[in-house]
Amino acid sequence: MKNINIKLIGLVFLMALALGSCKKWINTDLNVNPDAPSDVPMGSILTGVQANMAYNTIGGNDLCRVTSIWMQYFQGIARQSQSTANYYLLPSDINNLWVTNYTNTMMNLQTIIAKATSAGNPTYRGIADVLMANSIGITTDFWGSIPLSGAFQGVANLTPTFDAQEAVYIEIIRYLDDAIVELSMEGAPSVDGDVMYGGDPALWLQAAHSLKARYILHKSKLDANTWTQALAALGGAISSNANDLEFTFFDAAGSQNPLYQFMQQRGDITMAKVFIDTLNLVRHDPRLPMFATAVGDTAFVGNGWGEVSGDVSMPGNAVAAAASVVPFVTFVETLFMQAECLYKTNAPVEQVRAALIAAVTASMEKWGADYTAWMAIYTQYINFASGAPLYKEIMTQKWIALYNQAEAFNDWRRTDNVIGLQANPLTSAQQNVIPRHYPEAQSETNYNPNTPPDINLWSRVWWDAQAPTK
Amino acid sequence: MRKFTLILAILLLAGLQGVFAQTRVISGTVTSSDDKQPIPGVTVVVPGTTIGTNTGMDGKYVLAVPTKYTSITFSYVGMKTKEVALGTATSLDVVLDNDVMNMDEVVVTAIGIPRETKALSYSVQEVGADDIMKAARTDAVNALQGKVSDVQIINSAGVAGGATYVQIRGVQSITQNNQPLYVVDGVPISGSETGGIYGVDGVATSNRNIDINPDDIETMNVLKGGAATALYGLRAASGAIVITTKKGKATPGKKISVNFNTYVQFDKVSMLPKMQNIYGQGHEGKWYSGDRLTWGAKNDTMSLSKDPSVWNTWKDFDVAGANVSNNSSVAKDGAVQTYNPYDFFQTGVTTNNALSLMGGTDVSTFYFSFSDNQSKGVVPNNKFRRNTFRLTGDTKIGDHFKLSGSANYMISGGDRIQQGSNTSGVMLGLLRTPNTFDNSAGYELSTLAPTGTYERSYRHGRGYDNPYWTANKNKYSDQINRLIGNVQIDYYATKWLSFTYRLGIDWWGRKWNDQLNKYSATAYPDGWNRDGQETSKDMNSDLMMNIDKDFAKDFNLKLLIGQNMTQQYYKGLQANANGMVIPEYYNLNNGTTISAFTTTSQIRRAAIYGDLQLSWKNMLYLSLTGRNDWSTTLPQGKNSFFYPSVGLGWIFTELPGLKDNKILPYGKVRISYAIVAKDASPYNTMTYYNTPAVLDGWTTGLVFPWNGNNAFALSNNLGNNQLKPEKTKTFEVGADLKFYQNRIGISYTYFKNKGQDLILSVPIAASTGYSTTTLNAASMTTYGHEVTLDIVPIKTKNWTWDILVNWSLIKNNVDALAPGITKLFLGGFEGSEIDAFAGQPYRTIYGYDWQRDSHGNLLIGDDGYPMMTNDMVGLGNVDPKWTAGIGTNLKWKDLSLYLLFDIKYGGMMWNGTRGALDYFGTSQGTANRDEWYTFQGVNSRGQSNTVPVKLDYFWRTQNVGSGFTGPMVDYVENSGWVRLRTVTLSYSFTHMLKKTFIKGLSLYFTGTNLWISTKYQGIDPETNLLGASNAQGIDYFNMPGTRSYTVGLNLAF
Repeated sequence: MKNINIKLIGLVFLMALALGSCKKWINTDLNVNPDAPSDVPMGSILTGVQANMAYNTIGGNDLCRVTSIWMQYFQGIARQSQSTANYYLLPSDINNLWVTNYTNTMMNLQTIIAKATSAGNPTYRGIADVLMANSIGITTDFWGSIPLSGAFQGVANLTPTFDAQEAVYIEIIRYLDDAIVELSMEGAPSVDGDVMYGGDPALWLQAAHSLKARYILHKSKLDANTWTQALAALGGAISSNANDLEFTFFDAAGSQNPLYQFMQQRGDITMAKVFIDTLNLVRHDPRLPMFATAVGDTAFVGNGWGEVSGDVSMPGNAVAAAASVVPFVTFVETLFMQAECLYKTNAPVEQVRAALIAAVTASMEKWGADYTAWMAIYTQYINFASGAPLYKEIMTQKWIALYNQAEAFNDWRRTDNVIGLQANPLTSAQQNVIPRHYPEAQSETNYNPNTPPDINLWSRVWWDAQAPTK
Repeated sequence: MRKFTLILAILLLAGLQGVFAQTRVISGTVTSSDDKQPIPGVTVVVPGTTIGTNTGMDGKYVLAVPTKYTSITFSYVGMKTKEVALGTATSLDVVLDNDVMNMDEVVVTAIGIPRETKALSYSVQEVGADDIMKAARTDAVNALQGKVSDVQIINSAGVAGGATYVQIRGVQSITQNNQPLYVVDGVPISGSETGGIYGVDGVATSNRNIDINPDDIETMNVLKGGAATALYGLRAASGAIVITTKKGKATPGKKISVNFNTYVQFDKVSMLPKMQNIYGQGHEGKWYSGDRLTWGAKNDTMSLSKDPSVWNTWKDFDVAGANVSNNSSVAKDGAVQTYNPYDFFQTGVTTNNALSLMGGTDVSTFYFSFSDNQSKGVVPNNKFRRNTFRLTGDTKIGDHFKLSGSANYMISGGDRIQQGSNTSGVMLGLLRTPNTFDNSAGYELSTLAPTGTYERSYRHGRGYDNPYWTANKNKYSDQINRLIGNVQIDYYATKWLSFTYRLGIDWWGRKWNDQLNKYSATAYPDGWNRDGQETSKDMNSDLMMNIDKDFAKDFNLKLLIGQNMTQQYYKGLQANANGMVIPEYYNLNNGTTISAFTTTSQIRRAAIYGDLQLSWKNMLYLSLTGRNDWSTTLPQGKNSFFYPSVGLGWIFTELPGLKDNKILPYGKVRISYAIVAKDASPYNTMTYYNTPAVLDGWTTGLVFPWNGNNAFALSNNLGNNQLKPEKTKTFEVGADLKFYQNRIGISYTYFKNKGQDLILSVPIAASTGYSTTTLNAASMTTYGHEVTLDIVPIKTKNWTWDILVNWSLIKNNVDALAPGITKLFLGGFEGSEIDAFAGQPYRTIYGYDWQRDSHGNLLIGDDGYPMMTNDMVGLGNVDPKWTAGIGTNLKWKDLSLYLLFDIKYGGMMWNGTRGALDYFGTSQGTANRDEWYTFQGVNSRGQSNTVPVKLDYFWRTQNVGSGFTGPMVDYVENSGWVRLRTVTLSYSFTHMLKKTFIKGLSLYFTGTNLWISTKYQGIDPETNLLGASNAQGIDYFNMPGTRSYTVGLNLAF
């Protein structure tokens, strides 16, 4: 009896051992995460990219707030913003911007481009190309040489080389030229998930033209033909304020404008004395109540260098309301580029003046300013301007109109401060001049040995060369 | 599973055979050879069967033995086991000898296998019920502190119900979990920490080992090295804590034994950061209402004023009046008062009541317990409560089968308080508040303030929350319902062959609710209500065959072959309502955005394992183990892996010339080598799409679905379909010596672990399109020495004095991370990090330093101030150089005094709290702001600096003179300590009550952390912001630790 027991149990035991390698139990299909899809439609990626660009890159606090402090729209009065005003910006400070830009934005745009190409949808591809050109443009304008030709390859290339900015700019124009072709195609299939232009290829085509002009214009220090080329690109550019490429936020938790959220959750910045006094004391600009909040009922006050008062004007509804838009490229910018190009290509002065008035008018209308009376006086004033003062006025008005947009920083660099901003005299930073470059991101330096060393805040990108070629 | 049910049925049927066999009745008395007294509770069994009993209070036993069996064994803790052959006589008296050398001591090893300590080729250390009881800790694991070498235990937060970090023999994995496996009665249980984990903010939650009632534990055994855990396989790659629970016992003449343990504990905050109270709120020497900083005027130059000209807008905040100069015409409301922030803390109270009943007959036994633990923290409204019920029983079915099982039901949870880098963090709000502002004078306003809030705090209800507001208005509560059950069936086929099947289930569900008040001064506008539910199901099944046979002369063979199947399943559902519409109505329908998501984790594993132990003459012990695992978390084709271990133990005192010598009666040398492999965490083999995280690092960002649009983004984590198991090779050598009747014992172990192909989540350059991936890339070497010294200087009739010293030194070196990666972020803040560095010890503090010359002198600028480096550098190692525990127990008759000193030598911690407070101007270090100070260093011409400067408002807040604005180096501090971890004075009344029904009564007083000596300038350095995570060594407004006083009573009848 006992022996039978042992044999029986031995048999059961062996059966159980065999179970151990049972395929049913160890099924590696169980290792597929049920809470994350492995493939998604292009439209759902596009929405996320647009939101990321608006919130993290173009309208984001690491790009806009920093340059707005340097461009003296804002004053940093506490913590990191105060350091920014003192011209300290650490590799770790801009790491989030670099990483989200490469991954959440550009890698996802690459994914859309690949999907659109294989699906044969030129509209998706065109939209992705426009946004890609814009993203590459921002990246190279702040960091100079950047990984591009070897980028976005995952483990296949863990250490992409940095391409020179000259080569990167060729790519930007190529993306935009491709986009112009793709967005011009007749009968292209429609797209979903475009929360900026509702999938309208004609509007994207206008944005592509405006961006192309912008990126041509960036090379103005290097090449005298820039103005003519940019003027050509402006044909077909954004044709009204309503057609601006901009991202609209909403007043609901988790949907609000990035600067609004920053002011709510961090504070640390106020309006700068330079911008407030220019608009208030010098120009009596009717846009000021949109640009800044009043102290008391009507007083507009900005913090000067080293001042840290919390009881001054704060960023206003034009840029810091919960539902304020984040512009990518606008009709106003287009008109200012037009005015600048006309001036630089020696167009008749009346035409230049008219272009400037048109640009300023568009900006007034964009913010709903009550400008009629002011414009009458301003037009008289402009009609006396010509030559260098007229150019300075164009660029000064552009600086005002592009309030809290990083493009103002590009203009400031490529015009070598034609508008005459003064640097912070109180800083203990290494140099008492306004920075021109972002430091390399901490994570890229850590994990990519090709990251250029010796970059600091006063390094210059290729198009910002020290000695103008002129 | 159905197959196993069938197997069980077959096993049960097979067992009914022996019931009708012929028996005879054997009876007798068991006495001790020492004092000739009868021994109660001796286990009397027929080997190879379930037939057995225990001796009664009078040492007598009666046992019916079927005629076919020829021997009985008698065993008792501390006595030598004796096997006696049965003749024809029915009366059998037995005399047991004292086991002075503990030669027959048995410990529970991997898979719940009992083994004689002497046979082991690795070191084991055990803590018993009495130590656990007297340590009086809610989480029983804390009772191991200082008592076991090579085990580091860190209470991450001084809060009721906080998590405990346990690390055995350093770390094994770079980014994977390094927490040991918890095993209860042979069944692994879930020990994970849930909720708010690894974040720098939020609340401190518990890890799941807190659910165990410490009073249910008989022994806690720590399996440290690879040889000890090889049989457990990958889940115990970071060591194992093997818990054996109390079981019922058949005691003739007594049906039920009752044990009641109760204690009450009082907690006080121990160490606290030192603050200044010379200067008040404001900046640049002036007072401003609502100012963020404490760089205002000297308090003794200031007066209060309720004059409407200065006290109007903010009078609800500055309730005592505005601050004006003493010379002011409106200075008429008395001198400015200062307030002690630490008045906020209260005395924490914990009450613990545990009742257990046990009993049994020769056939069945049971153990039942109930416990109630209620803690009230040192922070108001911080609570933790745990109730446990446990029923354990076994029954014999016939002579060959034993069925046993247990069911353990636990309810735990509490009200948690916001901490750390968090605008609602209690310490953050408390310590940043200027000494001239009284947080306790009301936290809620009756009318809406001009700043749009009803909260009263020093920054006019913005910036940071008043800690009283946090404790009363921002509630986080959780509750866990947990059931751990196991069944085991043993079949004793013959004297040398047995089978065991064991099935364990650990199921827990946790629900939590996180409330952030609409008017909190938070980073998140309008607050939130968040609800979550989590379920975890762990299943573990082991089927084993055991052979234990003497063969030839002097040879014994023990062979175990087993099969294991496990599944770990977790599902979490979280719903967030953000932006409260109606204040203080906490429901998911009250948000301006409402979102929900789920998380899942499922792992299955299977294994076949074998353990062969061969011994010769009780002198040489050879053990070989092998295990093959299959795991679902690795790609097909790479998910089956085998790993072996080999060990040799030699009790050289068994040699003829040495045997029975008086000086060194016992000496053993042991050596072992093992490989332990570990799989990956789930879902790392592919790249997925996720809901985009649109966050800029400053704000709370965008939440999808956004305005009716949902979105997906390619994950930043790149999947790797080439993953293979990581392996750690362990070499261990040691010796155990016992001198003079075991009055002196020395144990020494050296070990070296070499980890290869370590799986780690590595950051990669974002230009690849991804920011992280999982690679088999790292390698790490760990070695260590551990010494245990056990001395009994005095042992007389009335006096016993023993001393136990544990000393360990561990060096962990990261040999390589991944190609091109020399540094890996483990946790912390950008710029103030805890990192793994290739070529450096694990856990390096990494941040900015002062610029220095080649000799390390500070470089001082012409303005007299030092300058910050542009790049981050390593600033110290978190882990201690060595640790030691010195425990001593002095016993006089029934009175005993136990002292445990805990020494941690070296180890650094980032005191981010002090760094920030130097900016805010509240810290003691800023009291010298008006004095001239000359930095020690050299100027640009290489001369010693002589330029005096002030460490004033401009230096601290506008320049790099604080941890907030400047380098972290000045805030990296030695966190070593010497502390009186435990002192217990206990008195046993048992002798006095001998004639009564009371079997035992003892009263004890325990003090925990009564004395701490450390150079650390903050709270108790036994702390960590990131809880039980790999990133230890961060103090950023952590909750302070506590010292506690406990009075307890233990009653048995």
